[in-house]
Order: sequence, then structure tokens, then C-alpha cells
Amino acid sequence: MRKIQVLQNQNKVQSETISKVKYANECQEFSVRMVFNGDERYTIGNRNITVYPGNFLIINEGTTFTSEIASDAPVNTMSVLYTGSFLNSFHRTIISTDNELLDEPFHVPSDSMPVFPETLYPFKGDMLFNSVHLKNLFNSEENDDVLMSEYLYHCLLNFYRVYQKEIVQKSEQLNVLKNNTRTELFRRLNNAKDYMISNYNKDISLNEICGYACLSETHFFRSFRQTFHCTPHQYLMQLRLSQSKHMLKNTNYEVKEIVSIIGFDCVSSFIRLFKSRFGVTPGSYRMGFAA
Amino acid sequence: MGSVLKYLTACVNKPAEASRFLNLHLNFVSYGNDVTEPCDNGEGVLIGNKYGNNYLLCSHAAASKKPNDAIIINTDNCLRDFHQLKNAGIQILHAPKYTADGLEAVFADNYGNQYVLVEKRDYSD
Repeated sequence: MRKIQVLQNQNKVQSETISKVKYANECQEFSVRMVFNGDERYTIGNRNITVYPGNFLIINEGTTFTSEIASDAPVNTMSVLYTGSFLNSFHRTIISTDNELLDEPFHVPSDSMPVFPETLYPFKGDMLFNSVHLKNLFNSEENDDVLMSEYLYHCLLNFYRVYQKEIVQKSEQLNVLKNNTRTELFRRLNNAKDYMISNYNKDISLNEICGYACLSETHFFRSFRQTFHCTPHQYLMQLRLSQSKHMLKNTNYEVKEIVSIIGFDCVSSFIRLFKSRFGVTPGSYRMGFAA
Repeated sequence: MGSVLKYLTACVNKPAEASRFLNLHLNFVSYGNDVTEPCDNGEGVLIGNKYGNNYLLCSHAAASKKPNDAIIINTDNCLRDFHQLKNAGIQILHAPKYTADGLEAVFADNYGNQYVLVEKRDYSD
């Protein structure tokens, strides 16, 4: 069952735990979409994006999309939706100087609505901590509008920091002189990154990723390294290991089951990689949480 | 065998009132007021919370010119506690801000004591 809370400022939080469902929507508000277990698949235009617990998805106001939970096991999702006026006003407080805000406190230009890349962002750090607090409050019987608004404000603040780090700073690392070219190249690299995240557990080839990104292999390889500081293969391995970490911490799957889910062929090579990346074996890592 | 209670000594203005303030607003409990410790001014009040913050609140020595240090209070949810303190009309000196260790807010009681509410966050994952 879906639960929605509309706050006094018209921002919303919605959450549900559900299996086998498909929705078709036009997003009326800017939204942050996350899952806490399993996965949810989105289709935006001709792009298919899967949201796992380690990532969240941004959808801008006015975007048409479909979402689907295909699994038999219930998936817990949560979305935070911000009205255009709230987002616009928030954005102005971020980009304006104190003097500008003092001189024209209520001026919000009608054409200044920010539009963010509709891509997957890492769901960790403060964004994750605050979202978990928000989820706990939302699921409790407390109906505290002011505290809920405080969480929503902080989630947006956290998102702006993630955006700065993941989009602004990373795109600046591309050795491209023209702004438009850089933006387009970064958009394609992001598409490739989303494709890799969405299909992290499948046997995907470099050729396939490049086709999805509309970039030649050498151009893609070079630009990807410049932006993400690793090769596409290393990035894919990191994704798989991060997902395995999440499953070790939050599920009861046996190690060999996790190895199969994340798309590894061999348990021993997974254990060796996990240990070299995190300094502990998967079993010891899980024991650390069980203790 | 008795258990050992580890605590930090904190010099405050009006320890009994400061203790009542923390009991009321941040769910501290008093372990009794007969504990003494060689701090600047005799007897202190021993208090603690569920996050293991145990303090012996001692009187600030009148002769000391050094201001009291702020008392660090750990929490598992800084925004929630900050919101409750604000609702209770507590004087907020600094709204929650992000640090390298997590989230922290600063507030004060009516006796001139300052408190730093800290939600430690593990960013290593």
C-alpha cells in the first residue's frame, strides 16, 4: 500500500513496500527516488535505469516516465517530491549572494527553475543518513510537519552537494575546451555509467556500453578514465563489490548466492577481490555486523 | 563485582540546574549527587545518557578566568533532537551543520553553559 504525506508547503513524501507493480507517470514535481532493498526499474524516454539501494535517481518536473518493480519479493521504495516554487526558492538561496537575498528577499525569477541530469547518484553519506531518518519518521505514527520539512530541506541540501561533486566537479575534469562539447560528452558518459549500474550483474561488454553511450571505444575509454579515475571494467567491479557489501550487511543470503546475484562466476575470486578491496573477507565483514 | 562507570569531568555553572536541564531535555539520568571528584569546587553531579555520555558536573571555580568548555553530547539523530530543543524554547547558538565527523548543533541553557549535540556518522562506506 502506498502512503503519501503532503506537507504544509506542499512538498511530499511517498513510500510503499510492494512487489510486481508498474506505474506510468508524469512527474509533477522535482523528485528524488530511492529504494532500500531490491530494485526498481525506470524508463525515461529511451533510457532504462535501475535504482538499487546504493543509488538514487533524480527526475525533473514535467518528465514522463514509467517505473516497475518486477520481483516477487516486496521492495521498499521512497520518493521525496519538491514543488517547483520550493525548489526555485531553495536554488536562489544557494546561488545568490547575501546582499542579493537581502535586497530582494521575495524575488524568484520565473525562468530560473533548475534542471538536473536525470541520472543515478550515489546514495551514501549524509544523503543516506538523513533519508533513513526521514523514512523512520515517515513510518512512525508521529505526524510532525515541521520536523519532516526539516528533513526534506536537508535532503535537498545534501543532494546539491552530491550534484556539485558528481556532476559539476567530474565534468570539469574532462579535457575539452568547448562548454557545449563537454556537457554533451559528460551526458553520454553518464548514460554509460547508468547503463553499467543498471546492468552491473550482467555480462556486459565494452562494445555494448559504448554503443549505449554513442562513443567510440577509445574515446569512451579515455574520457571515462578522465572523469571517474578508473577504467570501465574497474568501475563495474567496484559496483559489484559495493552491492555484495550491501547484501552481506542487509540480507541473509549466503556468500555463494550473493556471488551469483552480483554476476561473478567464481566464489574464490570474489572473496580474493573483496578482501583486497576492503581488507576483510566477506564472512568477517558480515560477522562484524552480527556481533 | 561492581561495574565501573567511566565519566568525564565538566565544569559548569550551577551543576544541579545544568543536570536538571539535561535530564529534562536530553533524557539524561542522574546517578546520584553524592559523588565527589577533585575538581575546582567540591561536589559534582554524576549524570549520563544511553549513548554513554557520562559527566561529573562540577561547579565552575569562581576564581577561574577560563570559560567552561562546551559539553559534548552524542545522539543518534541530531535533527530530531535539535527540533525538540527548538520547540522547547532552548537557546540555539548554532543550527545543525555538517562536519567531517557528522552533524552537530550548539545550544545553551539559562546558566551560561554551552552544549554541542553531535551525531557521529561513519562515512567510510
